[in-house]
Amino acid sequence: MSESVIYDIGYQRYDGPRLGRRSAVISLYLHGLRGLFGLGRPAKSKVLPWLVVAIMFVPVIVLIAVMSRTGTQVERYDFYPIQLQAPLAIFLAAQAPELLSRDQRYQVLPLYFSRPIRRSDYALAKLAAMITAMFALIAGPLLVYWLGSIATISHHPGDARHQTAQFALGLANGVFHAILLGALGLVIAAFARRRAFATAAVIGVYLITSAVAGALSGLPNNSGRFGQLFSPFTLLDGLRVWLLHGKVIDENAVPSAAYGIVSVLFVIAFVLVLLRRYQKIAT
Amino acid sequence: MPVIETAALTKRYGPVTALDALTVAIEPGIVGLVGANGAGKSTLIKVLLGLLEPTAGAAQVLGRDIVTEGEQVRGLVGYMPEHDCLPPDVSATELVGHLGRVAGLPRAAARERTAEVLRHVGLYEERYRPIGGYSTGMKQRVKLAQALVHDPQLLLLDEPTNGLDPAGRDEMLALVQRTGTEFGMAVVVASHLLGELERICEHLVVIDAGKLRASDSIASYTRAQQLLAVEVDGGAPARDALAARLTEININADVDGRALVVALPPDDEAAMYDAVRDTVADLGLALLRLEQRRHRLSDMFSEPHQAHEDLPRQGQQQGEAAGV
Repeated sequence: MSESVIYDIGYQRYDGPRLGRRSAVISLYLHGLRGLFGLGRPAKSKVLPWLVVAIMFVPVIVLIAVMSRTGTQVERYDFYPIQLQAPLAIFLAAQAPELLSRDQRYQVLPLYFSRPIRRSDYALAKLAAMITAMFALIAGPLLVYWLGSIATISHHPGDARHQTAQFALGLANGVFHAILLGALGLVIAAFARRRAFATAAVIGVYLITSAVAGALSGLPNNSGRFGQLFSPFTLLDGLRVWLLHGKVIDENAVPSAAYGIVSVLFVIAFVLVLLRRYQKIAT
Repeated sequence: MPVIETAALTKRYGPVTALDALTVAIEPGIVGLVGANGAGKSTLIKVLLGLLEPTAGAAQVLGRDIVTEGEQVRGLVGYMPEHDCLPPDVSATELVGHLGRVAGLPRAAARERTAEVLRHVGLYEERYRPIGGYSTGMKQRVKLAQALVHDPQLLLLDEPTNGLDPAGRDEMLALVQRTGTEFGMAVVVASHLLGELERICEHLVVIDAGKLRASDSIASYTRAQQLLAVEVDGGAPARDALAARLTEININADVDGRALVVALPPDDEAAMYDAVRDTVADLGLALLRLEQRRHRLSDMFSEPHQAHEDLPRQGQQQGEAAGV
């Protein structure tokens, strides 16, 4: 044949394999994760997430440069989420609505719930996507920092082993952050049809709880110290210190195990509220 | 085997009964689901899909129970909602491919079928652009494509011509008809526009206030609705005199402008023609016109429905008021 011809073969029946719920949930998860970073979306959806990614990576690059000059360790692996709470909070506030509010606002949920998945599958796949994205934002720079530390300041195998152990602790800390913050962001976004409201609400929770925790900590006799447990910043910081270093920040403050217990309770409560919201949501 | 079978299916939203012990069997083919706004069409479709929980009663779709086997049902059914349901920031290719995967297609098959169904519904280069920039007609096509991407056995279309201009309506109806006839897919089209359903459906199910009013083939509706229009010279007095005489011999005549309309009994049309002709002759009136008229289906259902027009729209508005 000398010329190619395009045939309109039109609609075809499909008799190939049909994968079950598991594949559907994985697809929801991947679609959510792509959306969080603006992939498959117009350019303006990519601006904010990639700006945050850039902000997260800048400090490690500076630290590695400093370490290569001085030859000594600068910072520890658990510093990351603490000192970069602000970009993490901005990412959460801006992108959690991307996952949930958008589907409510544009009434996309009937398209999902008329397919062979459960409502809980939808909510949990989105939650997993949010947690993964938050974790990637923390773990990516830490990975670079670890590689940089090995390259610049590890001179014998003992150094590298130490670096690796510290890196593992840093990743564990990142997991706690990602789970608690991810669940917090989604549970708020699940109740907002409009993206702007969800963003404002997430920021509001951060600001108000921090302000309250700060104000309570100023009360006499440490009577307001339990306020530390209800702000994401201080709760996660307490959790980090307790888990990674075995002590609390302030010896006469909150019992250290309380940070762990309260974190777990918060996560459980957030997930239950999220699931209930999607069980009840009108389609 | 019916594709849909309901038994005393009931759905209440607080005090409002959207489906009132509805019992109906819908056979394969292109079936119209007709009723005024608020008659319960959308509610029925949503209950069948498990988007709403029935208050009472039972239903089977493709032989599977909608409550205990809801997931299997949803794997075999394609649904096109009435309202806007497309996120504006993704392309048709991205959305339909994703929804194909959520419906259970493997990745490669989802990609291939997305291209096929988008071509089938008539979306070409624009399918790579974000949906937010599409016209209403293009959006309706994307909605149809996402319902078809996993090659369902049954297609549930809720007001597929919503918001379309006349040309767009014609194209959408032709597309629905082609999908139903060429590929042998069972299709249920819900609409409040009888004229549209008449054109593409083989069978009509009429619901009103959540109850079944009629379920029959299009042919039987139109057969039952053959009418005879009579017009005589002499204006309104002559017309009314004829009507009075016809009533005397037990023929019910309705005034329609200058003409009178009588129903033609399907079993003996000739006798009716004779009776009317003889009555006109007896009265010494001049017969201007005597013609068979094919009643439009809409006339059948128009009269007693006004009472329900002001019922609250069922569906998401009600659900939201109740649940959120």
